Amino acid sequence: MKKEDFDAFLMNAIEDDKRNIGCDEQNFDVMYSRLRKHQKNVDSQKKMINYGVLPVLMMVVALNMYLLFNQNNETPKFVEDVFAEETLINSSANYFSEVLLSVNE
Amino acid sequence: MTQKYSEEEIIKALKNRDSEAFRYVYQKYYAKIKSVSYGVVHNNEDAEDIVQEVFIDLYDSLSRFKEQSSLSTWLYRIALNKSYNFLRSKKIRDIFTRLEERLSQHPDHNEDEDEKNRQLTDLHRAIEALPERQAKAFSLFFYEKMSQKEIAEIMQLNSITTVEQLIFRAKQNIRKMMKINED
Repeated sequence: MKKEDFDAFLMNAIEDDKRNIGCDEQNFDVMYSRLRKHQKNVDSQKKMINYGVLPVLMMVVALNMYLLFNQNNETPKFVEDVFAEETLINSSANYFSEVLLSVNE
Repeated sequence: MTQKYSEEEIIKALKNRDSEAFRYVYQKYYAKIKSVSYGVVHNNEDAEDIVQEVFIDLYDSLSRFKEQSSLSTWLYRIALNKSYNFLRSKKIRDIFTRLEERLSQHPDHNEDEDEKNRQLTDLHRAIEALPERQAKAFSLFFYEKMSQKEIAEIMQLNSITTVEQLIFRAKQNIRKMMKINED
C-alpha cells in the first residue's frame, strides 16, 4: 500500500470508528449527581480529619511524649548514664591526685 | 446552552461553584473530550466514564488552575492523562483476558468476522500499543482533528516539528503492527 493510500485508509477507518462514539449530553445530570456525592465524601473526610482523627492523633502524640519523659517519675536513663560517667571521671581524678600527693610526700 | 460566557467569566463562575456555568462547560466540551478520550481507549462506555471523571477533576482542582493556559487546553490535558492511565491499567487486565479468550476460542472462530470490523480491531490494538506520546498526539490529530500548534500546546511540547515527528512515527508503527507493507 502506498503512503497516500495508507493515509486515506487511516482517515476512513477513523471516520467510521467515530460513528461508534455516542454523544449523550443528557448525562450532565448523572455526572452532576456523581459530583455532589463526591463533594459530600470530600466534606465528610475533611470533617473526620478536623473533628475526629486529628484530635485523637494529637492526644496519642501527647500521651507518648508524656510516657517518654515521665517513665515512673524516674530520671530518663541517658541522664543517669551521663551522670554516672562524670562521677567515674571525678573519682578517677581524685584517685590519681591522691597517688601523686603520696609520691611527693 | 442558556447563557454565553467569556473565558474569564466562566472560570470565575466555575470557581464560585456555579452549576449553570458547569453545565455550560460540560455541554461545550463534552463531545470534544469524549472524542479525544475515545481515540485513546476505543470503548464508548470507558470514554464516557473518563469524561465524567475529567469534569469531577475540573471541579476538584479549579483552585489550582493558574490560568496559564486556556480552559479547553487544560481539560484536554486532564482527559489525555486520564485516558492513558486507564489504557495502561487496561493493558495489564487484557493480558489475562486475551489469554482466557485464546484458550476458550474455537479454531474457526474468526472466519465469519466482518473484514471491516477486524481491520478496526487491529487498528485499535495498534494505537493502544503505541508509546504514550505518540498515542496522545495521534488521538488529538486524527480523532479531534486538531492542528499541530494546538497539539503542541496541550502536550506541552516545544515545537510543531516534534508533533509532526510523533504523528509520523505513530503512523509508521501502526503500519508495521497492522502488517501493511509499503509499495
